[in-house]
Amino acid sequence: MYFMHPERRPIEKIRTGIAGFDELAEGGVPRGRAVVVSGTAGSGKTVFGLEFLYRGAVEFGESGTFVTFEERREDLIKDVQGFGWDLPGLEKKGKLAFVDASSVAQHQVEVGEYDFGALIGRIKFAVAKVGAKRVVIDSVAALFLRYKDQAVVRRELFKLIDMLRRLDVTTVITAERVRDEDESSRFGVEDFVADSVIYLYNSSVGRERERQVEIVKLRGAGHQTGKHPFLIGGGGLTVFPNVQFAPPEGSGASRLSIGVKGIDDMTDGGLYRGSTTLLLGPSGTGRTVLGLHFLAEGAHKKERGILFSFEEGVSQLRADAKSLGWNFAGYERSKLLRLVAWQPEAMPIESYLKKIRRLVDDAAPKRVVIDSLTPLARAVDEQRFRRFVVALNSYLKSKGVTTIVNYTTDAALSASVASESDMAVVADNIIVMKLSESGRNIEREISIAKSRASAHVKTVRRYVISSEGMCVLDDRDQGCEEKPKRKRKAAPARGSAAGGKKKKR
Amino acid sequence: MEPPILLFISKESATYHFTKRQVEIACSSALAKEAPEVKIVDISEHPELAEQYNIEALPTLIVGAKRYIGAPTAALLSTCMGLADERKPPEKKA
Repeated sequence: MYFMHPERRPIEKIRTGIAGFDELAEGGVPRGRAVVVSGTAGSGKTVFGLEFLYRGAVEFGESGTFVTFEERREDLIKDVQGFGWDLPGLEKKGKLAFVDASSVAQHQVEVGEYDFGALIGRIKFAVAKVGAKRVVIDSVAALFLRYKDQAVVRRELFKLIDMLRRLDVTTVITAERVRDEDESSRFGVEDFVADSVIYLYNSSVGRERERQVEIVKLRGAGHQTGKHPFLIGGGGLTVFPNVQFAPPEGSGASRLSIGVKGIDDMTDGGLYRGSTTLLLGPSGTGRTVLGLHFLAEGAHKKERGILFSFEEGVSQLRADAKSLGWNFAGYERSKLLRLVAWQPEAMPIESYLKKIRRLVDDAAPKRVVIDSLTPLARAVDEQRFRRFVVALNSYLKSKGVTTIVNYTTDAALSASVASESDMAVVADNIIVMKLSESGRNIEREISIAKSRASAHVKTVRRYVISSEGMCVLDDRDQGCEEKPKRKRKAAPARGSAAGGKKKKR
Repeated sequence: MEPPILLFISKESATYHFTKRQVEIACSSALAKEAPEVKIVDISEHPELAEQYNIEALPTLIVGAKRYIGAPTAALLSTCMGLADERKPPEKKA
């Protein structure tokens, strides 16, 4: 900073209004400048641009101009109708203007020298018409494909960006990368706007698609580094900052055992310290039991834990634990455990966040279980719940807490659908528990749907819940004989596998 | 009446004077007498017409469904005017 020229004003930032993004960009994007948003086809560039204008108009009273070279105005309007964005309404109010350059002349011949005076004139006109403070150009690659002389296109784009800078509008220019790994976009669009570059990724992790955003550079201002997941859906785009989980060096020691027999084998030795695990399943699968195991295991090892319950009351939880052979009241007295039960609708969701922070700050627990988030999700709208999840997760991460979050899914809902939920995006690990019918029996099944930075067992395993608690069978359906000992017994004869009285949760 | 030939230019373009001169030459030729007029649109004065006709580059010469990008020569303009009867009106955006 001390190299800064005294006359040069510090860079002022404007908030994009995209949930989570401004936290990532530590305030927003530089005012009066251009930022390149670069990504592969389908990575969400256009939605990013549209939301930048929509939020500008609706939340910050800043009008916008959208210059489209690819999708027609009508299609763009339809694309975001599902988010509840009324773009024609904003047009009528003079808060939004389109420059629709999406159609391409069929019979076009280049016969001499040219410039983009008409395009620049149109943009200038639209900006003046609504008094735009924000402009989106989506995407400039089209110009390189339409005109033969690349040098002219570059020169004219430079003129366009210069014009926008003079008008003091903040511009988002989208650019296309052919593949996620590419260093720069087609035609080197970043070169025109070397100041600020944002990458969007749309990569597949196993069978899941994972969207991520990374701020590569941001002119004269701080920002968070690394890739951060985001979602498109509900009310638009939501970035989940600070959720990246870097597995600590020298893994073994930094794993936390869940305490359920057989499960640590599935997760390659337990949960990484500081990770967040989402536990999905319909009610009656024993997710609460798993959470109790996790806390009991911690207390046994003198690691402090807190259980935040939005379903069962404290005395019920103590009784549940007692029936499984754990003296939770004793752990509570020795400050190894704290049980907190809240009525989900007693307070606004943000107040729970404050309370959780206070309790975690005080007790500095190693393990936290939230059982479950479902009632909170039902109590508020999607955007508010997302913000809560983002904030809660980044807070717990910053404290190095290993967290298990319970989330109830519809029994009929497949795990893949559930794993696209908001929580799933921030979760480092996803454990899916379900019930399935097998002849006249109900089988309990568990699988690891996601495990960041870890090898994990990809098959579905059966588990049982008995008076001894939960136990996961091995791939030969063995290992959970009645009265299991700490040491694993030799495999018994076939047929006696799913031993243990089944106990209702 | 013949549909006009549209020529989009701008005072701010480096090709402005050259293009104007080419139009003058083409129109002054004998052949041009019964030809349709070349309607010149200066988009620095009428940017809304650039939007209406979806013009990006200047100069753009619209002759029916054909678009010529870049400064046209007088010869090209004359040819276009001579082919006037094969033309359809310029396409407008819906």
